[in-house]
Amino acid sequence: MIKSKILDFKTIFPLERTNLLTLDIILILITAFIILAIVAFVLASVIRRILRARRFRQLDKLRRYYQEKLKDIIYSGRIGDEAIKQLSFPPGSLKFQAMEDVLFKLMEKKKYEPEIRELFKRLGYVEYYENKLRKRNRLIKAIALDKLGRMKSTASIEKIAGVLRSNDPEIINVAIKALANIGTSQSLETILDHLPLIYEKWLITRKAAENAILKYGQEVVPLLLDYLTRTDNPKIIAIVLDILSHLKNEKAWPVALNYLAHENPEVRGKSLKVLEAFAHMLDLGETEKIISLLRDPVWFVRLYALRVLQQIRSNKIQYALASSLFDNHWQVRDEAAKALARLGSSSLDIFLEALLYDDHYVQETICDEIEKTGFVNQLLENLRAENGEEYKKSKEILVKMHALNFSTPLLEYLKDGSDEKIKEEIKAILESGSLK
Amino acid sequence: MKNILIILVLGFNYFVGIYYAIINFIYTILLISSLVAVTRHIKRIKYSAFKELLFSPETPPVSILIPAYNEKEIILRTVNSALALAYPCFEVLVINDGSRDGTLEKLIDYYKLKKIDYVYRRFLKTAPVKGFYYNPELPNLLVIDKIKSGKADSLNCGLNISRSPYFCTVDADSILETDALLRLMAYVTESVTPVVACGGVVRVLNGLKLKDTRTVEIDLPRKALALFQVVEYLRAFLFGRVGWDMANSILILSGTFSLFNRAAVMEIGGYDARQLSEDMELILKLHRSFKENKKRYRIKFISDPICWSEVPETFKMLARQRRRWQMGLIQSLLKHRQMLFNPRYGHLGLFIMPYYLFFETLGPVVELMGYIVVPLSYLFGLLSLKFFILFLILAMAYGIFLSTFSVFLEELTYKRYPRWKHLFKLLLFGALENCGYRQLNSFWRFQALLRFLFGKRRWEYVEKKSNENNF
Repeated sequence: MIKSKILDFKTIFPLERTNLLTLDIILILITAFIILAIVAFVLASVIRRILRARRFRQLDKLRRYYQEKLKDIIYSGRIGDEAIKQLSFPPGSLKFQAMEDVLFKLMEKKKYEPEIRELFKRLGYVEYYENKLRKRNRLIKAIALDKLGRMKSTASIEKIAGVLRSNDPEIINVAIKALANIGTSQSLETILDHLPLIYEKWLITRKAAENAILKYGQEVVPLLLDYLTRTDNPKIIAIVLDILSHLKNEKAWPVALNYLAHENPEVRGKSLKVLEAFAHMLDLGETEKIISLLRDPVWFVRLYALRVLQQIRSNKIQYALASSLFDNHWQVRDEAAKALARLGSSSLDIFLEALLYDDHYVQETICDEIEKTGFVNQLLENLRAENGEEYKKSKEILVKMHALNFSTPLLEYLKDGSDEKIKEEIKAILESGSLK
Repeated sequence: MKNILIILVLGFNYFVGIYYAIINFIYTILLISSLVAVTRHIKRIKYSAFKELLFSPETPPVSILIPAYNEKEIILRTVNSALALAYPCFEVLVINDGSRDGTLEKLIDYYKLKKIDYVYRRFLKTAPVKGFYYNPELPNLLVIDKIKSGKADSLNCGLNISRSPYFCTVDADSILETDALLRLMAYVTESVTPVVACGGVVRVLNGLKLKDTRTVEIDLPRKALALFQVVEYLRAFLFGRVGWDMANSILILSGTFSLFNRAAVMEIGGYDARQLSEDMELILKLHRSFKENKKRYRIKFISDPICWSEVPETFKMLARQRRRWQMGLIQSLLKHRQMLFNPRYGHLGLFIMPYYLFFETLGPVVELMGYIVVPLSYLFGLLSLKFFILFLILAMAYGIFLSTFSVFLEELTYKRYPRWKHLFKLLLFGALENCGYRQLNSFWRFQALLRFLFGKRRWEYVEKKSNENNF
């Protein structure tokens, strides 16, 4: 009975010894295919290594050979047709690649740049990569753009500019970088002309443009200042001011001052960023203008204003900074406390006064920055004196800090400190726990 | 009764066959996708301007969070490597999770740290913090000492302190390649879609010869167990994750080395301290939140930023690690079970999560049962020896094929193991792992499932030892 049932199952499920032919063959075929694939991958890994090692050996040899040859040609001062004929190779060949590598390497030595640029053009590299710009494949296009930029091919600027109008942010990014690598005023103007287009579409292309323009260095400043006179787009003005703030050029600060009252907070903020490096050049009236920006409705404008002001050391400024200790934005409060702590003993009064206010956030911010900036060490040192203003104020601040649970520096000094007088003072502060 | 058993056995045989066909079909698709993606990425790197980020004022600041528990032997190596990163603006936050081996003291001594008071605001609830250690001369390093409460809670603590828009998690037994963070951030800054999380490759540190946190010589580990893991990691990262990434379907980014948008993580409440696999759970939570709010987002895996991480070299430690991973997977899937088969979550709910449930969670059960049922079928006379052997060979061959492909992919792209002996060793161990190592893994994963079912859900500590060549 059971045996007959097994047979029945065998009929239903063809996994039985006699009916397995088709399934067997399928399994054998799949297994054979997989084993073949394994062998193929193993062989591919091994052969690839061998071929690549051979290819790189050959490339190294060719590079060495052509480097010497090119040097001779360049030293001779004239690149004749005969030389061009000798150095021209079919695109895609090993010699073509070796020559390209050598040219790029020699390009790094600024001395030979004009000759190398000419060689790139006459040997057909520029044309070869310009043709690749017409391809639809993004990778091919991007690699071509990158190479044209590295070749500093001024002749390709227009073609690269055409790419800036594409809808692919990755390609636009590479195009911007290529223009920056070319590094001429024409390529810079191309970037600036396309700035509204670059800015509108994607944030990342905007960042690429900013970085690209920065690569031009100080020479870009007059062009940027001129550009500012031609645009009223607040977003573009803010970008240009931001770039100028990184370049820290003296010519920029009078222009930045004009934008302090701009209706757009980005523009106000970025113009303050430009002024940060030139705080020492500001006169009283200009300083007043910046102090008034500490009451700006936008927090980052207040923060930038604070950063400019902390470069100026004067009592008036110190009190302006003090008002920011009570700002409703933590970044502004932190910055103000940090700035005051860095000013050292002259901020003692301000800290004391601010600690009297019953604002927990403000108190914590101050104590935090006193510890982090290391100003607390100076406060402890001030306890060494027998009497005097600094001694009194320092002790008072430390007492308040202790009351706010910022007692670690006191306890640490008690543990590791060397001065017995300071230790005595600390003990007294700690005993004044009733203040808590 | 016997008839029922026979029907069950035969039915199971068919189930195994179909199960095996589906899983291998998925692997084959992943394999092809990863080949395309990795080769394309390699070409992209050539013109990607990630190095320019180093000098760009636009590069966003990053907080590097290093949770540490009893890592005295290796903590300096990790922190030094983090501090040596080529990145314009970053802070390193080491969170000492109640270590009892002197990890904190070692950090204090080495970096000459002083205890400070710090305003700690608990945006995310965490265990109490005992102290903050800081040296004004090393302003981008802060050590936080807290009561032991687990890795997820420590990361939440770091998140509370971090003030950067992005944070990067790094395990205390890992070292980052100097440009790793820059490479990760390059994608974040270049992506049109907002990137909320981004992970890099984790490779096996064992065997590496280091000096002053910089890799001086890449070598393979001597111990077989670590060698198996080298191949396993290559497979997991170069073809598994890359493949899933093609469909924006990454469910796991290794907590060993991942970058996150802090605001996005804070919005979903940070890490869940009750989870054993906090990294996977966080990714699931991010997916869920962004899908529910219909926001555009990208969770990305990138195959060229590298983090070298120490792997266990003993069976005991490896078993602990694998059990924890598996238990974490089950826990996360259960927690977000509403996403399963739910069209609201798109392909994630309809395909990816079911894949993780049926193949990653239940896979070990099917595999281990197969080892019992298939020989039984042969003994009952329900399966021919020939078929049994053919199936066994096919299963092993496909396993070897996947490992060989991963080694080939590595060879085709990054080629971090340059010597001939490296290549042959990797190929050999890729084949050998199918004869015992894979089965052991399935056993540990099965064990995890049992422990989970019987309520033994605890974090098993994996001890790491610094190799003397490594620092």
